[in-house]
Amino acid sequence: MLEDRLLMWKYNRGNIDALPRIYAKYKDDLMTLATAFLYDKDVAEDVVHDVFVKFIRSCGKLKLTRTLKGYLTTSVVNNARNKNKAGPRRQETSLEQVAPVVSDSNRPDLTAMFGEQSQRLADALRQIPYEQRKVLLLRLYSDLKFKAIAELERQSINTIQGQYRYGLDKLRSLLNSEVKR
Amino acid sequence: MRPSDNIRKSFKELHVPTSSKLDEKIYEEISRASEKKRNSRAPNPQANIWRIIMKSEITKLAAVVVMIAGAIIGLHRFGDASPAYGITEALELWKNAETVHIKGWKFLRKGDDPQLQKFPFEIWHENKSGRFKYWLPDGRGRPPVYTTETPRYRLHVSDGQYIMETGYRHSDSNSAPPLVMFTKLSPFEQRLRIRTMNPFPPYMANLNQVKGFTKVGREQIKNKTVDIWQGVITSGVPRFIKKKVWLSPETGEIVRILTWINAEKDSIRWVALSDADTIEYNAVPPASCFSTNPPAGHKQMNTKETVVERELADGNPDCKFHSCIGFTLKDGSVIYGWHANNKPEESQAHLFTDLEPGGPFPNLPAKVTGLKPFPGEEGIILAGRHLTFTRKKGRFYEWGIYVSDENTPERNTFWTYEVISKYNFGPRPFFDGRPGSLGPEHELTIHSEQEFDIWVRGAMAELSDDGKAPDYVTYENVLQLTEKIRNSLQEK
Repeated sequence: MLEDRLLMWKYNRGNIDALPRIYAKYKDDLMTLATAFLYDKDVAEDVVHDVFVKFIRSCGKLKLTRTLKGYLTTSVVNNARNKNKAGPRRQETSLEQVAPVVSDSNRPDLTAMFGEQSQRLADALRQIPYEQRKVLLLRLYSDLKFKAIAELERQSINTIQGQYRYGLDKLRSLLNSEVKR
Repeated sequence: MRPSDNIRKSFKELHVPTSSKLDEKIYEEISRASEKKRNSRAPNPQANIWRIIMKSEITKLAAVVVMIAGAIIGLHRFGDASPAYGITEALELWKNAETVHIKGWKFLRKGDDPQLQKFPFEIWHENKSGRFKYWLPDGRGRPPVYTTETPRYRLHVSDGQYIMETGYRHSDSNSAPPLVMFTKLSPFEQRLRIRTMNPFPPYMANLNQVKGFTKVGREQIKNKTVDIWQGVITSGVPRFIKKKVWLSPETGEIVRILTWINAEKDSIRWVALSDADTIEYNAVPPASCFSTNPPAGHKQMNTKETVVERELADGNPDCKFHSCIGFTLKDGSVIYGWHANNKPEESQAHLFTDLEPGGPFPNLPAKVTGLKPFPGEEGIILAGRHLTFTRKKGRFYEWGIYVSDENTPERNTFWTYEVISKYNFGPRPFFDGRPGSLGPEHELTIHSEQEFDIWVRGAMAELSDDGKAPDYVTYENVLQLTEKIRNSLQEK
């Protein structure tokens, strides 16, 4: 925590030297989070890339007030949300027919993404509705408090706790049924 | 509820590392930022020169003489102070033209053959009547690939009232019969199309997309001196798009656009997509240009006589959850009409009682809870509340008011609104789709009370059995309501 405070202090003053350490410290956590949201490693990497590029370019202009981890996690979640369901999906008639970013990936190869050890959890998570999955990941993987998740999602704390409860129930039953099989 | 230690532990074991490629890119970006910072700290030599000049009377006098001479030469060289149009102005100025004609070449590949081949295309737009014509070779993917012997062409033409589209069922044979289908627009949709139609790709319509374009040269095309602008569009598109745009600095007319797409994601290789080598404003279209008579040899899916007038919708009006239309008001808030009923055979009348403007939405099986400018800054979401509803042919249309407590970006700086929707009642009800975005074809910016009456009240009347908009919905009432909602959001 103390290290983060120092990094934030440097970042807020436009000290570029803080950036390599911030990236090294959080890159894998954020990559894991984005992959677990999107189930597409390429898109997840785009998300992490975009978040850090913006973060780097804002060094000295943006003033971080809460926590470094909270800020980066929020940015990844918001960015992943955009990638997940952005833009018009209709057939357009235009010269180039370039549709905006949409993530409609096929069933992902979970082992390749998460490794064999975490495949069961990743597979179970994939079957949980997106909103519940997100709350579970933010709470249990990123260790965000319910209050912080509620602020991030602009929902009431009760809604978030409800989603967490339903998600956890479903996750348990999925993991247990897997064991029984 | 506490998770078991095992579950918590499993979460902590999740680990997906970043690739070395990504690491490399980020460290490069950090180096660039560092370099930029170092350069910005370098002393300004011009300031020093200025200080030296101002120290002596003689150099001061000499500087004044030089400046006057410079001004005279400048005036002589460039004539009077006529405006020099740039890319952002050019993308607005075409709206003043009566017609826009674009023709050139599209680049396609046949099957697995990596070699690109070029095929002609042509587009006509008549701005005042809403008539248009697109004649384009068809292909799948980007860059487009065709698998038939020769590429099939798609015709999409409108005489203002009817739209005629030609196409094919899925088949890789050139002998499969082409099909033709008609859509009939209501008078409101016809007016709307005149207001929203755009001959250029929709992602070019927002200025943030082209703000990084720079002038890279100047040349003569058809006896006109034109500036060449170049840039890459990176946000909101699945792969980066590079464009070179030739435009007249005197009139703002775009005369040519060359477009490339990133060969693959993260690739540094560009593949040509199209060369619109002839772009003309105010050209006279050929006599039969906008004819909607079915071309010979096409199988008709419907006829102009049998087609039913299309209900106002952004997309398919028969979807059980769909967008109708949206309006951005001068304070950045949005009025957005949508419909959600997964059981069309059941009336929703009981859900549309005791509703208050500014209150919660009716308890529908799906709701549009928010709108988000796209592509845009993170975090800005316009939260939705109920404004009013209308009813037509047994269908209920919810009109929400969407407000943010933050400053929303100017409407011409983003492409569209991402629609944030939510399903109610536990397990997800079955819908045959859901709105993904709002705009730009069915979304307008409202600048005045008069426009509000024409478009907002007009759209509500269009989706009402009695052809009238609810009395409460006036420009003043709505702006007062948005102010109230904004204040309540800020208090939270």
